[in-house]
Amino acid sequence: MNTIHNRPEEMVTEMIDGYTAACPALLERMEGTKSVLVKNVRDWVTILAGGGAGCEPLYLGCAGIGMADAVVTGDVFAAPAATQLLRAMQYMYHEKGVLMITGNYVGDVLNYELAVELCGYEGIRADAVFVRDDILHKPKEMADRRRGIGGILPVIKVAAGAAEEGLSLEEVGRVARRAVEAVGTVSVTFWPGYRPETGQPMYEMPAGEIAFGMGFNGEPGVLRTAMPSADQLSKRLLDYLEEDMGLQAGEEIALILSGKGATSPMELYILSNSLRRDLASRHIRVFKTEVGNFMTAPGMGGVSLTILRLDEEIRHFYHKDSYTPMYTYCAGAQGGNHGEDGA
Amino acid sequence: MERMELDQVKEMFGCMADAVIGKEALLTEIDEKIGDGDHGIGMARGFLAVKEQLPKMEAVSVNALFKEVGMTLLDAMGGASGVIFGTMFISGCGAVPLTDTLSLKELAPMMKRSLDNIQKRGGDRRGDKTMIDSYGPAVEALLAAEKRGDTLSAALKAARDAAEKGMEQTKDYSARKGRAEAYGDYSVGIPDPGAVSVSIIMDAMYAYAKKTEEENT
Repeated sequence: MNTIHNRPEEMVTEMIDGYTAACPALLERMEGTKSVLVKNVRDWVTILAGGGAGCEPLYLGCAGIGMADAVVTGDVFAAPAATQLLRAMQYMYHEKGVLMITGNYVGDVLNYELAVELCGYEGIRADAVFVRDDILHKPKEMADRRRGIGGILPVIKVAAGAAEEGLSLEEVGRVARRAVEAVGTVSVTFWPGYRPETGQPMYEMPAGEIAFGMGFNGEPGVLRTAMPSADQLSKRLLDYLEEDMGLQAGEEIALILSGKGATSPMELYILSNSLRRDLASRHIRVFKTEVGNFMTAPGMGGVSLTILRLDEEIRHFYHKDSYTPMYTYCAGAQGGNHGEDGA
Repeated sequence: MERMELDQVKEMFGCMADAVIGKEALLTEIDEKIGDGDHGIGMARGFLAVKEQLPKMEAVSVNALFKEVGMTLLDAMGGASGVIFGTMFISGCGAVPLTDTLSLKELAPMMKRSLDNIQKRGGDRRGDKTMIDSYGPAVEALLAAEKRGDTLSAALKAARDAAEKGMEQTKDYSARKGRAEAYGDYSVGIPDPGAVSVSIIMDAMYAYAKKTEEENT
């Protein structure tokens, strides 16, 4: 695969420079770091999200209105250091406290928890929430060790919705943790992506096979099988989620279907159509369907399906306008289809 | 030796840096067998930065000096081991009131706080073949020595011995944490590289105390 870059070691900083320059009214880059800040943040609890680069829109595309107030990226597929997180928090608005959100990976957890401690020495109130939504990564008894994938974005969105209503750091943290409990994702890979620096495949996969639960860097999944039809794929994805999350008929959810980078919008909407019919037959009510590319890897084929279980509080904070150059949610125009499906 | 003045604590960190840098090849050799081979380079990079920064550090308390050394390690090493070895010195700074001398009364609770925070973050238990297997016993030895009313150098000797014994025991364990997890039973017979690093660090602290004591008698 041919890839666009100048020097491999500058890919992340050049991406950030290009991104902030394309949207100068909304975003600024913090000099000398791989951090992006939203301009004109109001005096609320601020949300910082961050993690390795290379899965955009996650995380760079999560900084914006009704989303994270700052994003700190690491190198490609590597967590940002605690000192980077600390510097961003010192620089950004932090007087009401900062809630940090990232995925539950060893490197990220270590750095985020240390950053919370370092903030304490600097007199900045901070808290960290780790999203662990990949239900195929570890069995349910080990749910606290599962990694974070497609569920990270809706957790950021819900937390930002709570922050902009002026809730305290403790309250925003509580809401974010409730969202972590309410979100689950299944992921299926059709073919491997490539290293953005070299264009070389990240790992090998036999042609014609797909892998459920495979990690973004090729960590083995739970099931390899031949490519099924859209309806069969939909059924398998929903079976996994329904069982793990204990979804009941009559429950209300938001459905977030993300391509992994190389799967086309046409295919995503075909799958979304199968999911809609299948969920109706299960009497699960879809409040909102989001379809797009939210967490990707260069050239990777496949999808991840995230279910956010809604109750009054989560729905309220989720269903608000969000805008970033890579992600939009318009509560008015794309309003929830409450009660339409399966009701 | 009962206590170290601030300048002596700085010298001690200098000796520690030299000791770790000198063992880079050994750490690399071990980590190549059961890890991704970068532990030696990372530790050496971290302590080279400490050595370079030490003369410029303007800390006026032992607490601030420990924190500055830890932050330097964190920044220079990066990754999970940067956090762990950074925490080893950062977290102690809040455990005791500000002090410009270091006695066992300060060192034991400082190291205990660091151990607690590393364990809280890593979730590592004993026997998982990590640096905790060496650092845990070292901290316990310091706490026991404090109870007995030992001198600082006697306590550091006990801690060094406990760290080394703990490190030796990691040879019998199968890796369950971090990247070495993938090596599982294959890792038996080889010590954990992080535990080896702890053992080098504790040995350097004791060696400095012993040398200073000998020079003064």
